[in-house]
Amino acid sequence: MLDEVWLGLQAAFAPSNFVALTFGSLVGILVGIVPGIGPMVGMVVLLPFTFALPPDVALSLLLGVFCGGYYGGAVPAILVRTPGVPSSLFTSFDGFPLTRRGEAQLALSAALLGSFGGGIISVVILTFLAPALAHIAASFGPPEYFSAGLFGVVLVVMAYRNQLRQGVLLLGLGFWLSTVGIDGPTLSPRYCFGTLALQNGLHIVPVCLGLFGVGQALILIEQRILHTKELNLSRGTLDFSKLFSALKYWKTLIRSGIIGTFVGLIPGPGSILASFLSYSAARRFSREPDRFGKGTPEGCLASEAGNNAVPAGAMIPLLTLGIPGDALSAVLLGVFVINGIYPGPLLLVKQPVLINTLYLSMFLINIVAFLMLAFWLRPFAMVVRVPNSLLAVFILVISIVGIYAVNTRIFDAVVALVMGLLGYFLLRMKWPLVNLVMGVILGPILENRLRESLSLGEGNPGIFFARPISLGLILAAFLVIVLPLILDRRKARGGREALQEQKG
Amino acid sequence: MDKRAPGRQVECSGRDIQDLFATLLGGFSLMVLVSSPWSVDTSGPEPFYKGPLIFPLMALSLMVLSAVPSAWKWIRSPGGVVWELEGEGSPLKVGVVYVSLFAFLFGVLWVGLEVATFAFLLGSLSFLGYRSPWKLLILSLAVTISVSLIFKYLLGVFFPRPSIMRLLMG
Repeated sequence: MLDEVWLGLQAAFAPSNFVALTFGSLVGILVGIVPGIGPMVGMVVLLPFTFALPPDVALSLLLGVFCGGYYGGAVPAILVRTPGVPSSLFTSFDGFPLTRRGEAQLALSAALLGSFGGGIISVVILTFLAPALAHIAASFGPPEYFSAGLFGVVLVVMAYRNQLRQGVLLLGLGFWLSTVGIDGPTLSPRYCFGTLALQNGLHIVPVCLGLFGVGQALILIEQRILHTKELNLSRGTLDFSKLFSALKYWKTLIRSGIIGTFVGLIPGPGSILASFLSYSAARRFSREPDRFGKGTPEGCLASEAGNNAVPAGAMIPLLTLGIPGDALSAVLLGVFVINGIYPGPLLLVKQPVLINTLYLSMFLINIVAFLMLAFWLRPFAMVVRVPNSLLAVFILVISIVGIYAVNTRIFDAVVALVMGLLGYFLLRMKWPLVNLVMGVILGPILENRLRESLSLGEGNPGIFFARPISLGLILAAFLVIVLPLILDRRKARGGREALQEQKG
Repeated sequence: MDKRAPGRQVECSGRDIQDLFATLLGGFSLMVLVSSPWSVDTSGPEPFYKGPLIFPLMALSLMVLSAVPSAWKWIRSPGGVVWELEGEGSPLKVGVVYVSLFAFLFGVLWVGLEVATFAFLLGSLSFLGYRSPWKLLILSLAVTISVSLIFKYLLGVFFPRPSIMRLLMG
């Protein structure tokens, strides 16, 4: 055990890994700061580069972007009331009023402390909770894995239940796209339409990079430049003395970190809910709840601790069950699969060094991202002023050349361009793109588990209901679908009745 | 006056476009679903549940079913449609940049990575309204050099010899 931790420590501090996580954090902070880009675009743009790297280094690079993005998102939220990432919206509620009062440094200190504390707390929880969950998951067979995957997918779809039809449509499309190409177990060509290029299937990289990288870059072309003169920081670095003022909210920090981690491990809700719940809990337990929304560092700290705890929380189901909780961890799952590593309970037994390297890398990412933002606060803040269309054109060039570089195939770049157009329309219509990505990445895993389970049951789907864990997961998925729909209908009926009473 | 009178262009909300898009996707999936027995080689193992068709059929059925309500709504809505997404106008800029991306991609094959990248950056930035020589020339050149250095020399990615060079030099 200690040997594995020691080896993990060596791997985490190896120059290649350290450079990767530092670069990843830098990219993450930058894409987090620019409103409209976000960590997903950063991750998919870097995806082609991961092919030249060993799996632990590749994962550290992407984890750096994942975590760094949430660090960066707080800066424009506080300085110009424009959240860099959607979950930083709650940071802006108190951060911007503080900035207007000339206390931007206090708001940024609280947000950074929250980000750092939330990140570290969640990694500690991940370290202890993942082996426990893996121990339970060790008794899983194909039906349980399928049911767990189904449960995860249902949670993600229901997280966007106001767009249920669109979400299911995109999930189905993702599943179908994942079946294009030669079928692994039977070697039968599927939906290749006589095209040789399609026999290799649609690679995860062009699909994800097209949908998010190209699609989002096309959206950025339409966005206007953020004109602002309010980058009033008083100094180029973080005022470290303000960190001590923010430290008095340590209870809020711990509570928010725990909330964020547990929200992160549930597939679907993601960082916005984590941030919202942490912020709401902080207000409820605060000694000065009236100051929330008017400018209290406690609000910034709670919101940021909540959303920064999500990446490590999302790693728990990913590492132990192979179920990604959101699009960002779905991309990480893609990197695992591309490298021939299949997350699940056995991963913790078979690859302990890789797991320890990941845990330690996440610790380091939090430290590096914190220090980078603290020391280069002004240069990072100035990034807000870079015109979006300029960034978009650069992202497009790097994406297209990067996709070609993976397999040196023009066909992949064409796939990315087609997916980019689809992504652009879906993003403009605000459809839940995450469902499509989840479908593409989870499709092959669910399909294999389904076929294995049906083979075990000799074609009888009753096998899913005959095993207690599988049955429990299916029932849970059913409840997740039915309960919110009943509640929504009841709410709507109540609203109608109230309206009729008013009219009457 | 009835805004939805037949033959007249009506103001179309984002929802109508969404329904149209869902209908198109649903129609596509229905077509693929029906043609699946011919698009998938099913000469493999029996029984069906071990074969390659079970999962795609489930996925496509899911798509068709979820598109039915949108298709029903869209078919029933009368009048013409204003082709605007969320009322933000037609995406002309995006269209031009998108088409030039194809030109860039094939330009990499015809004139080489560096020339295609520089031309694409210069063209798109100029089209998007950047006029200062610093942004147009220096940034384009800097990004071109960076892309070439990273992909060609650092990652050692193979780029085919440009067609134009083959034509000129034989």
